[in-house]
Amino acid sequence: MNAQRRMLKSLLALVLAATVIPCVAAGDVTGFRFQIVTGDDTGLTRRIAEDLSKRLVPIFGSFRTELAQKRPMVYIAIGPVALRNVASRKCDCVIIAAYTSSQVWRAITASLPPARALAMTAIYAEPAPSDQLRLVALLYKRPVRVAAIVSGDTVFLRPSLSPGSVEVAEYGAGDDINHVLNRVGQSQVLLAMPDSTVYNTENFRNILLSTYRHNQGVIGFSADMVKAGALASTYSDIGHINAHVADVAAEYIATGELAPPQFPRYFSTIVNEGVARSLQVAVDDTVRKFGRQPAGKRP
Amino acid sequence: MKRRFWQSWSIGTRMAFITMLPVAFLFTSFMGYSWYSHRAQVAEELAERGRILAKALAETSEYNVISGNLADLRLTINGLVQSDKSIYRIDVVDANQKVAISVASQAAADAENRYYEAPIMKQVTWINLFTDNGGPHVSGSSDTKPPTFPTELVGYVRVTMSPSNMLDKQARRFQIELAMAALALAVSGVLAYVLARSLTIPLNASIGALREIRGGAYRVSLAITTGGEVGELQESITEMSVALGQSRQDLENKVAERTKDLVESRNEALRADADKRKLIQKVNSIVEDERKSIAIEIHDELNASLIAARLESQSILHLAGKVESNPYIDEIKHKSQAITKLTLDLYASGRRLVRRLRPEVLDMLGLHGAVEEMIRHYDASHPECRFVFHSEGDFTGLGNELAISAYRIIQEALSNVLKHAGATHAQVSLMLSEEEEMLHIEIDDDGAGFSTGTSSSGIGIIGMRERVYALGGKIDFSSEPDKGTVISIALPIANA
Repeated sequence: MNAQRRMLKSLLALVLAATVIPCVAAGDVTGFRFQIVTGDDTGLTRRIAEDLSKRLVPIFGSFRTELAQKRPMVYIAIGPVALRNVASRKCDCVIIAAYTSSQVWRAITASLPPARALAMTAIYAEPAPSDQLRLVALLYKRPVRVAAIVSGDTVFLRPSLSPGSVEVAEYGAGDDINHVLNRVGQSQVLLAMPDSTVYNTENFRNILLSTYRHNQGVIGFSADMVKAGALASTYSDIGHINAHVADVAAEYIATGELAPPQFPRYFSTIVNEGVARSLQVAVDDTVRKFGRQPAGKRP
Repeated sequence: MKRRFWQSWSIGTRMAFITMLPVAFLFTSFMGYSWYSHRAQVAEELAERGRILAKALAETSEYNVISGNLADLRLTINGLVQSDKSIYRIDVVDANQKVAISVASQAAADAENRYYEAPIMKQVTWINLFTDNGGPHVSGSSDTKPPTFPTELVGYVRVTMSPSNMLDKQARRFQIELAMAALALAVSGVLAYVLARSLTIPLNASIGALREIRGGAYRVSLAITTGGEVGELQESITEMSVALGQSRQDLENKVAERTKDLVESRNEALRADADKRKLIQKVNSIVEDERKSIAIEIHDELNASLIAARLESQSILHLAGKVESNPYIDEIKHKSQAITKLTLDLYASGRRLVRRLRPEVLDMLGLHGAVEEMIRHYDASHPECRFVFHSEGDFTGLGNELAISAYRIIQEALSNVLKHAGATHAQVSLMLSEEEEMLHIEIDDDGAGFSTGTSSSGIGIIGMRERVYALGGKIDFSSEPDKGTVISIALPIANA
């Protein structure tokens, strides 16, 4: 309860802070204003909000300040809590969700009316499966069997996994993760994707150990997973995600069309060199420098 | 004062004990501590290895226990147990204490009566797995490495250790230590012996030098072979021997001087003694001559006068008898009778005096007769003591001086027998040895005797001795209290 209260207080504080941001509106009540919504008041969230604000102010700064309160609002939701909060509001507004995984995004938007959902988009937190598969190709430099475990919450990702190149194992409620891992034990690579049903803190270490014993490399979905024992992953840091958000917002302002939810456009790569050596995976600079950087930023 | 047993030890033995006793104590203490230390080390190492092994196995067993894949774990544990002889048994039990794996060693001989247990905890790595109720999902790297926490107990690893293998190893190490320490002890002993000898040899030499000095050989030759206190002792002994030699030489010189003085004094004394004896002899001769002269005077003059006076008195008495008796005549008769008697008494006294002054019998009968007469007289006049005379040899040729000295000596001796001895039997022997040219006189009695060592000599004995010495003779007193006295005298005939 205390945690929720602190979260709400933080949210309100950031909402108030966002309203004092000098959003400029046009004289004929055209244009947009934006508001960054956060779900907590941690240092990470503050860093995200500050960086994002710096990137969005130039985009929205072309609108004059008169009648600003009447312009439609563009909410930038940072994290799942903020997204859930903003999604629950009844407003004529556009929501750009960031720092939320595709699974959570789907869970939150699934219950919303279709019209409401159309005014929302997201930059998913996890890497694009296609980028991850390209990373696998760069790592192994030969065709390898890639497996992925999906539950009912992430079955929607099946289309994004290239049919035939990824062996998808389903994980149902009550299943033993060890058995599922044994089923995919013949694969050289396990592609992990955010799914709290499959990957949670209780079994994550077990999964890493099990795959390691099966001589499998785990392609994680965050840099921290790589540090914890996964082989490698593409990841998007705050700059990457915020740049992508700014791109989407600018496109929306420019065209009036909201881009569909998508995986991060910009990313870098992290490799656990120790795990790679242990799995006898040769890592070269091609792998280490694999990524896509926003314009103006050197990889 | 009773000495302790070690106080009679030689300095070498003491040095050996002084040097070796601490080493022996150190050796014993070191070996005792080493043995204790090895035992403790085995116990500590076993405990540490057991704990580490249990902990390590618990860390690595998590996945196998959770996943139920115990075959790999059994292989791992079996490999451990068979490769390490210090492990007796390893058991893996689940959270309900049900044994999942139990592997016992084939080689370990015995087991400790305890086991080392480590819990198998389920570890959770705390990373952002993009749950729907957390903070922002950031795939980028966070500032810190994801932490890992133990959450749930899934079982235990129990390791039972076997001490025999490690004890054997430690026993071998102890044996090596013991051998090295014993070698060190032996080396210490040899060094102690050498060092002790480096001290005892100069000390023994010093003691030998001191013995020589004690024996009177002051001029000893003691080489200074070492430094320190012993060297100083050697130097001191050498200096002392030189000083003692010098002192002795000085003393000998002084003694020689004193001896020379004493010899001179002795010679002087002897000369004085000889002179004294000559003087005594002369005096005795003079006395005897004077006595003889007085005796003759008394005999020829006084006694003749006394005879004349007696004759005159008898004549008065005779004349008075021719007169008629009256009181005056009676008085005259009476007086003449008294005078006759007085003259007879005086004559008798004169005779006695003459006999005492000059034993005329000596002139008439010689020494043998005079002594015989004297013995007879003593025997007759003193019936409480029996006097016996015995003689051998011809005494007629003896000189007058020798005869009268011998007579006087016998006279003095018999006088002493009567005055002091209280004897009942006395014998006088006279033996003349012509071969030796000696006159032997022996007077023995059965009287009270005296201690020759303590009793002081009376005038009579001194006189006897002086008479003997004056004649160049010898006198010997043999007596003990209550056992009589024997006086042996030897007088040279030639000197007389």
